[in-house]
Amino acid sequence: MAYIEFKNVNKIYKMGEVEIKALNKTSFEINRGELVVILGPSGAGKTTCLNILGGMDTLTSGKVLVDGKDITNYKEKDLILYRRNDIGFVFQFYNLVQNLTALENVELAVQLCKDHLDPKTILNKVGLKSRIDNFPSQLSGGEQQRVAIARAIAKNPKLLLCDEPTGALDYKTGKQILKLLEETCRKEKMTVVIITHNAAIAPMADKLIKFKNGAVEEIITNKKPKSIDEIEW
Amino acid sequence: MKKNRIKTTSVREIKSSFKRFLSLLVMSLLGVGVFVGISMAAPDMMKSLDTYYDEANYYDIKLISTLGLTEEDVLAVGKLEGVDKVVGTFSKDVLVKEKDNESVVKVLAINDKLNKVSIEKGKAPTKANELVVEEAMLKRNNLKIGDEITFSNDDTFKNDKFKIVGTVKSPLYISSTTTYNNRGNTNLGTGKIDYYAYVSESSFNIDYYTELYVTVKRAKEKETNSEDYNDLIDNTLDEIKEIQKNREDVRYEEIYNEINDEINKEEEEGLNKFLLYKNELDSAKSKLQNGKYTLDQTKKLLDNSLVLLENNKIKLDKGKNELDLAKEKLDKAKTEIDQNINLFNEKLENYNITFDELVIILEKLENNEVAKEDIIKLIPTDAENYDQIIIIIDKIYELGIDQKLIEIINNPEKIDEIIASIPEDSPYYEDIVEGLNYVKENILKLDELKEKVNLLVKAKEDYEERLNKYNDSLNQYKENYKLYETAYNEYDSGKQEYSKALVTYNNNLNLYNNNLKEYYESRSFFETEITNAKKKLEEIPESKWYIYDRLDNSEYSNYINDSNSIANLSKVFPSIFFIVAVLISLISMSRMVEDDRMQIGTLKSLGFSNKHIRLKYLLYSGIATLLGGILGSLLGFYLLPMYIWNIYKMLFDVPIFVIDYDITYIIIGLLLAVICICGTTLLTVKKVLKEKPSDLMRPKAPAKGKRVILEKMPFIWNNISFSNKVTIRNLFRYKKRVLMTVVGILGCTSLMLAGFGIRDAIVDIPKTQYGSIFKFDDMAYMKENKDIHSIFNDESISLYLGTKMDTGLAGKYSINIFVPESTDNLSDIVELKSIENGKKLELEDNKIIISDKLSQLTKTKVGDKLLLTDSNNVRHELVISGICENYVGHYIFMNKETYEKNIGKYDNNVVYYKMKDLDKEEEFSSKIIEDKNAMSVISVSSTMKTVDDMLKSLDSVVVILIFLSAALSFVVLYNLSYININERKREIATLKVLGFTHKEVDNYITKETIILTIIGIVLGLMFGTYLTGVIVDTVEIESVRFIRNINLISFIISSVMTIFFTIVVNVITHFTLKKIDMIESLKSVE
Repeated sequence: MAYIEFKNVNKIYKMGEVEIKALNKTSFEINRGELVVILGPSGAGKTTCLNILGGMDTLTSGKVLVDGKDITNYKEKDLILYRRNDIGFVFQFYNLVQNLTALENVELAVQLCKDHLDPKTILNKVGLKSRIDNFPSQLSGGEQQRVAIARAIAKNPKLLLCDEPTGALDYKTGKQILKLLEETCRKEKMTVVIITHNAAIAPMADKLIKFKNGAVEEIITNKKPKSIDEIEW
Repeated sequence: MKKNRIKTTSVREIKSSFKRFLSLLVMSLLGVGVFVGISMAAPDMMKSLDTYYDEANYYDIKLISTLGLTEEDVLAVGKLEGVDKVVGTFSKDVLVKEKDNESVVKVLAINDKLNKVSIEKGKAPTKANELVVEEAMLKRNNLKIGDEITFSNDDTFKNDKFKIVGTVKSPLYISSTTTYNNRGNTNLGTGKIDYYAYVSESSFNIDYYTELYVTVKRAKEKETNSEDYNDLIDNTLDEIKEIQKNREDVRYEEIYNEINDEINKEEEEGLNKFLLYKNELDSAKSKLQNGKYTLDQTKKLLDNSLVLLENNKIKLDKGKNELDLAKEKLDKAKTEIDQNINLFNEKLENYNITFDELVIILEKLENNEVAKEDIIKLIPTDAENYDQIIIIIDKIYELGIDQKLIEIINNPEKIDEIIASIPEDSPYYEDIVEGLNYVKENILKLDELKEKVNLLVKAKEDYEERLNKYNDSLNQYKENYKLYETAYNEYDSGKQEYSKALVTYNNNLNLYNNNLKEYYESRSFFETEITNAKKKLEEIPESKWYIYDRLDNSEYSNYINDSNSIANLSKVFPSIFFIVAVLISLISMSRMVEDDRMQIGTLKSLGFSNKHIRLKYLLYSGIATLLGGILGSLLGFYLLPMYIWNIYKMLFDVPIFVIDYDITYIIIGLLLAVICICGTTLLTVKKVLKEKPSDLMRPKAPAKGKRVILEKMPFIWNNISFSNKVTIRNLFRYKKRVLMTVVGILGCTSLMLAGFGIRDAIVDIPKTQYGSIFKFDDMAYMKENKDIHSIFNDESISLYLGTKMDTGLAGKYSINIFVPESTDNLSDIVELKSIENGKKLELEDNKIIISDKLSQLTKTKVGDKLLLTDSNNVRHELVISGICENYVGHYIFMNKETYEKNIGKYDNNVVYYKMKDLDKEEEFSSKIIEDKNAMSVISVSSTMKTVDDMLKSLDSVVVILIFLSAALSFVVLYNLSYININERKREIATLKVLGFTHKEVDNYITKETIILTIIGIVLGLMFGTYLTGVIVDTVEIESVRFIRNINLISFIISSVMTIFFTIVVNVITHFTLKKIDMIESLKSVE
């Protein structure tokens, strides 16, 4: 049984009279420790998928299992705990709390979890040892995203979800971030899901899930993923 | 037509951010509404009063005079240029007894030209014994239409008894009667006029006007108490003052002459009367003297006649004696004669004859008339040959020679001759001669007898003659005696008449003497009277006009004061609303502009000019402001003044409410709102427009996180929980918002506190005044000259104090002059505490203690002299020795000596007392009223109830303040919270994604709000205290000192209410936060 199972998930948004099918019978599986890239153009349903995986949104029908737990019918409270303990999230625009220092931002997330990692260690790991006392405004975009990643993994989540983590970064910095995520996955055995529309980074994934028009178009399992260093775009 | 899409987006924006729009609108509504509403309250009040006055033809100027006013005065005033109409009318304060009550009533004459009254019930008085009263008098005294009331001896009116025929409402009196009645001061009874009443002019019995009412030309067009109005009145007042002196003198002379003439006339008439009287008396006197003379004469005559009478009597008596003696002699003679006759009769025993027969026969014999029988009788029966003789005699008579026989009887010696003459041949000769001889023999004896008889007869005749004489004398005497008696009787009746006349005379004399005495007495009385009258003439009071304008009517000036209070309030209260509203709008708009920066950038880059972009925001805020402002104006324009009017109805009885359609305040309010809000909008937009479009297209760098000073103090900082650290940082991060929030909450809290504070300032007045300053339970207005000590030495009374209560004026303020009989237990009745240090004040000789508000109003302090006018209009100047705490009314305290030395005679007219047992309070007060000792008794508890009733109206003011403040606070808090959340949506969404529970998110956000609220409340309470002070100062009324103390509970309630609103807002926030979609966190920064 896979670590994460996405079975026949439908997600329908009702906008007044109009029904929009954001996800249409979507099914896929993710194994533990996999680095998964979800690829698709805007509006293909990848963000909806991420939202559901991250416990930020509910599905209309179908089933979602995470580490054997069925989160399909989680109530809001369960979802909060799920987000708190099982999910780490990295945003496109980092979403750091501006008046907290790097360390404090990590601590902010950590204070919620029982089974967390040491914030300072994590910040060391993401290479921000010297900047832990800086406020986000004093950090560059890459550094901010590192803080965000540190914040996400410090919770020691079951799943690290990254929504366009490099979207707001330049090429070089973006690469560094992807590197960090890759390392996290490989070294920490963290299950990482990266959502992107940048097809170029697909080879780094263990599994590539392509979305199109609200449905999974193709799932490609890559037996030998490339290191990010080897990928250029 | 070219469509302006800027407008489209502006209008769409309203739809999409309706809450923001609404909050702007409500802010403007509240700001403008409260401003317009409270600002209009005072003008509406004035307009209402003015309309009422105009309808009633209310006077502008009132004249009264110490000597009354005349028709000439009316004409003189009427001729003045500024004067429109002058009407002279009557009024009089009277004591009215109805049932057990005694009230002082001002009775006025109904006048249909000026000060028109309205008859509420019943009908207007038409007859001289009808009157209409104010409704309250019926209610308070359980009277009804048709009842009769009596005026205590007042000759101002034709009748004493009046029938109530209706109720009346006079424009002269606009104080409401819902709480208590006081229609001004008087020198009667309690010194306060309780009610007014109207009668028809015909009820008055005086020949001068007691007052003139004057209207001023063109004054009616002006609003009362407006500057124009007051100028107009002042001019006319000046005109009147110009003729015042002359009119006063004329009146004085008139009165002087009138009285003088009257005195002179009286004097003359009186003197004449006395002269006539004197004459009458004198003639009476001479009559009496004449009478006396006559009497004396009579007396003399009487005495004389008495002497005569007495002499006569003596003479009579003497005659009587003589007569008696004569009678005696006569009787003796008679007896002798009778004896002789008896003796004789004895001799005649042998004869068949008595003496008297013998005398007769003898007489007959002499006359030869003797009959045979008589001759027979002359023959003694014992004669020897008696029978022969008888026969012979018969024979003689037969022969007719009886002559011879009688001759023989008469001349027996001639017997022989006789016999011889008888012829011897005559038959029976011998018998005859023998018979003749016999006769001769016996007759001889007869001769002897005859002689004796003759003697006797002669004696008898003599006796009889003398007896006749005697009888004559006796008769004479008797006649004389009768005469004497008649004379005596005459004398006697004369004497009686004299006595009667003497008594009459004496009576008349006494009468005369009495009359004379009376005459002297009444004459001296009359003379004193005249002297007194002449003295009084000199005492005619100085002729003095008192000229009053409307402001001198205390009920009017109270109304003006209250309306001014509201006008003042309208300067303080709405401005705070305005400031808060503008501040909130400022943040709202600046937030909006910030939010829209990218759009602005886009528009700019599309080539729109700044003007166009500005238009969008101006439209948005302008529409909100104008819409809200207009709505608020309308609500405020109609509702608030009406509401305030209804509250003031508790205090004033002006029957009509008129809205002053003066839109100045609306325009000002709207302009202010538009200028402030659109101005701030422009300022924020300007700031953004300065930036380059490229910069605008990029998201604005979020406010930077900063370390706070606190972090430099690790011992504190390290002990603060993590989320608190975040809160603290946040507070310092959004300084502008924090400031706004604090100011907003401060404003609301302070307004609410002000609401409660105003209430506190007033609500405790009765408790303080009648609890800690006035400590008595009751006050009794006593009737004159009562021995209060015997009345109040009652077992149910624990303490009492007699006082002299006088009223007067200090400047224009009515004062009560309080003079205790003794100062021994004064402090148990009234606590005189220094306002400065709370120390007890003592009354000093020739110095006064005045109440604090009075000192404030008259701007006097300890050591100054206070000029006061007593109830007799006499002025006094007294040194102030202390200023005491007092809240209701103005008081001047002085001791008895000071009063007597400076003002007048002291007599107890008000007694303050404390009960041993309050349950007996009513029993005792009704007792002293029933015993006719007290006119009325006022109980502190009832006074407190009255004041409490009055204060209830105030609660409504507080409620409206609180309601408005609450609305404001709510909008402010909500708005700020809304902005706060909007600004931090992304942050909140992130936190949610991170797995924060709702509660944790709420905490994260609301902690700030709570802290800000607390800061706001603390500052608000401080500012509110200040604000309360300012408001209390502006709304304080003349006769009451408000307590400048806000109760703890008011602080607590204001705080709790603000906290409550915060909680409500937080609950709303909670739902807003809950609604924030985590997807927000994924969105790019706009």
